[in-house]
Amino acid sequence: MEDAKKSESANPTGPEPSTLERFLATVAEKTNDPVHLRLLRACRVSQPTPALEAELQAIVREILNERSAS
Amino acid sequence: MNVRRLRIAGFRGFNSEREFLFSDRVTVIGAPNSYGKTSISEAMEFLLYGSTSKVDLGDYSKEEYRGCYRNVHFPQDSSAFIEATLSRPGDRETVLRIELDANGTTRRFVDGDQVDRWPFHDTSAGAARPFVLQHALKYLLLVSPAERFQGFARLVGLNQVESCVQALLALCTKPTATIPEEARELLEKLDKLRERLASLGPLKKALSASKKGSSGAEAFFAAIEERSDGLLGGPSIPGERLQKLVDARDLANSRVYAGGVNIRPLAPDDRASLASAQRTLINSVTPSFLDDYGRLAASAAVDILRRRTTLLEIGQALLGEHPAECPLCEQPMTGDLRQHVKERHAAAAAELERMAPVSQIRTRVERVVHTAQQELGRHLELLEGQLTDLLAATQAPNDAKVRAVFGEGHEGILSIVRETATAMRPRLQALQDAAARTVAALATCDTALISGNPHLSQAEEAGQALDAYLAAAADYATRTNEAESALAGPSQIFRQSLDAAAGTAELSTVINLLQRRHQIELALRLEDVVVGLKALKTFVQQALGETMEAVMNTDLTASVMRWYTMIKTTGDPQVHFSGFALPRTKAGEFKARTIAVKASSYGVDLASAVSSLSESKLNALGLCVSIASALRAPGPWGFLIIDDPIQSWDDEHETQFVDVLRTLAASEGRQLIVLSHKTSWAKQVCQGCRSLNGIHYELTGYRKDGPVVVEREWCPFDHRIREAESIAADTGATSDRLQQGEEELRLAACQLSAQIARETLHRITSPHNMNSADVRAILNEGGASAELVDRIAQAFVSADDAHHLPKNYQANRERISRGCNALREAKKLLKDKR
Repeated sequence: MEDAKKSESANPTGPEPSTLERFLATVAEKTNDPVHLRLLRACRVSQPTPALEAELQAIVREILNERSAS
Repeated sequence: MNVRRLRIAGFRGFNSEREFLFSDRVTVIGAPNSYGKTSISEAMEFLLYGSTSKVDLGDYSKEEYRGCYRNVHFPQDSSAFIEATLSRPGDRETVLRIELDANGTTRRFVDGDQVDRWPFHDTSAGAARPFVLQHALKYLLLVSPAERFQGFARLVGLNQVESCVQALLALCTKPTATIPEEARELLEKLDKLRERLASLGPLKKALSASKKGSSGAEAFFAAIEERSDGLLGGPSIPGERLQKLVDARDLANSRVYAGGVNIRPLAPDDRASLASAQRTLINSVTPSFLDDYGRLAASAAVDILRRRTTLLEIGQALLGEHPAECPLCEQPMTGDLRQHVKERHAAAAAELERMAPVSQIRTRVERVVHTAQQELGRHLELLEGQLTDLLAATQAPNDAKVRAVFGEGHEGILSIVRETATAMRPRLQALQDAAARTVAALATCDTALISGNPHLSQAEEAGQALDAYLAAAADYATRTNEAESALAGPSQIFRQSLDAAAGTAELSTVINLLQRRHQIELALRLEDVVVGLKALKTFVQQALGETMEAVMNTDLTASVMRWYTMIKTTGDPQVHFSGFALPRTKAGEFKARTIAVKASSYGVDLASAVSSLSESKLNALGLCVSIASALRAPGPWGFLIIDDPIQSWDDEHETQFVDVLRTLAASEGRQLIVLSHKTSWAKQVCQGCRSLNGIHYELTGYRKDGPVVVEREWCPFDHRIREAESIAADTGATSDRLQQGEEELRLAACQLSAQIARETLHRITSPHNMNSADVRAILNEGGASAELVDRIAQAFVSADDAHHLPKNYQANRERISRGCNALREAKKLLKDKR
């Protein structure tokens, strides 16, 4: 069964920022931590949980890979 | 967008197809309980959103709600469907259709074309849903504050934000569940490191620095180095400090026991050497080597060839001097024999020319053999070295010392050490045996090369021995890794016991920290990320609070109060809802996702509306919140479906709510579809909203094929005529009032025309949206005289559309009276025809 929530999505390219976009902008105003900002960017999809987890894993992998490279 | 028409088949309580036409203003559907009333609002929800709030909100198991959307009697091989015709005023109509198969598959169509999503998808995403559902109201108020917050978020169109927040908070609350295992282990080690630092007083400065994350890393290691110099008795050159510490520790330890019980780790240089030796061995006895070796083996045949060629050259020369006799045996030579000698010489010379220089090949082969011999020794030595400490620790006299270092209570651990050593011995032996065979085989090759008597089989044997050695080395490496894991705990305990016995605990800790500098810096950076997520969690909660508070403060609370006040009756006790609040902490931060509903009693604040207000008032409040939310962010929706609003109210409150409906339709311009279990109240809505001329359905029964739908008159013809006559007779009637009289007249004419069409012409014609030409045509067709039709039409034309009045329009009492008389005549005519 389709779930309407699944089909909802942000409209990042539209002229009017969506409610979600405005909310994320409000959070972003409170921080300049690049990790936070990356995670907030990852939220702009209809299914934020997998996107967020993937982004956090990518951030951690980048740190781990710096060790390998050094 | 308004909804003009709805067709339902096979969905929820609807089996066979049913159709509803909706007024642009108010449509009322009255039906006793269980007659399929709520299925209508659910059909619209399902059509627009793909699910219903009853299922979304309910805490039901999937099993209980499996296949609940399809009517159980609907044919399994047919697609259930819901089809709605939507339009904006003055715009073309759009037909939306959703089909639902027995297996749960859905398909969407817009004007017959299949689509993935609705065209209004984006504009509806942040809008409130156009539904006021009685079964959903309890999720707004009679729930925990956190659930209430979720309910409000959904209601005011923040459901996307809410799901995003939930995902963020889950991640920020337990990030270690998401990060890779390797990172998790590093963080766990960092925790253990801090525990150890806390137990060593002189290193508390370092502990304090480590708690500042990566920004404290420099101070952390400065503190460690400072302490190191203290332990060494003076400052050290940075590059020498670590080695000095290790030497000092080893010296102190050696007085108790020199060695460990672990698999000795390979130093980085040794690890590189091992890998290099391994590569050399793998690349030694290659097909190319065997080919070279085979050529050398064939070099004996080359010597024979060379001598034969030399002999033939001399023979050729001698034959030049004495062509008639053989230079060897002096027998007579024929011309054929001379030619034969010449050809054999040429062939032998050519063959000799083709042979590669043997010396080059020999040099190459010898180099490979010697290198393999050297690297094999190095490779074996490195591997053997890994077990040196373990094996030494389990042999006399060291085993007694080791037992003493462990002390009592560690017998189990000691037995792990012994068992591991016992298991590793045969592996080491196998490795050494394989190495010995390889050494022997390579030596054979070496000797044969020196003596000039190589055979290909020697190289092949060396190759086989080397392969066997590499296989044994691979197995040894695997077992060593397993042993290393098994010994990790015991060796750590041994190290701690040894440190305790030798007084080197702090030295070991310092050495360990300096050796793991990069790893610790990395762990601190990872910790920055994880700890930083706690801050993000706070930011998210604050932003959500601000967003919700903005919604509450800007227009929602005032709007809720407006509708709530309309429902209040004059006799109500002064115990009422007084507003919403988002509780904050003493520090001014929002408490996590909670909404408080305030109330007051005769001016005194109560603890909460939820605990203080009666069920009927909470019901009224829930309705008002839903209505206010729908008006605040309507998105593309012009309609509002209000499902069974009347619950546990007295007559007066029910009447008050009719005023709310009239205001919503007349002042707010909302298209209302109102469903109620109370048919008498449904009629009251028609009466209260008479001038809006809506559509009134009643579900009068329920059968296996679905509800029995009957369209009722919004207002009886006679009531309209009496109202118009009453207005015409009122000498004090204002212009607006007279205009209302003419509107009643127009509506009565339309209703009568529809009745004539149905009863005498046997044609179903809706009384809604009829114009004067339609009325005239039906009256003519129905047998009314031309003169009567003209009189009716004359009254009708002047009030054809009260919203688009002619410039010279003036309400006229006489015209209303004439119209009433004409319509009464027409009604009598219809009665006579029956």
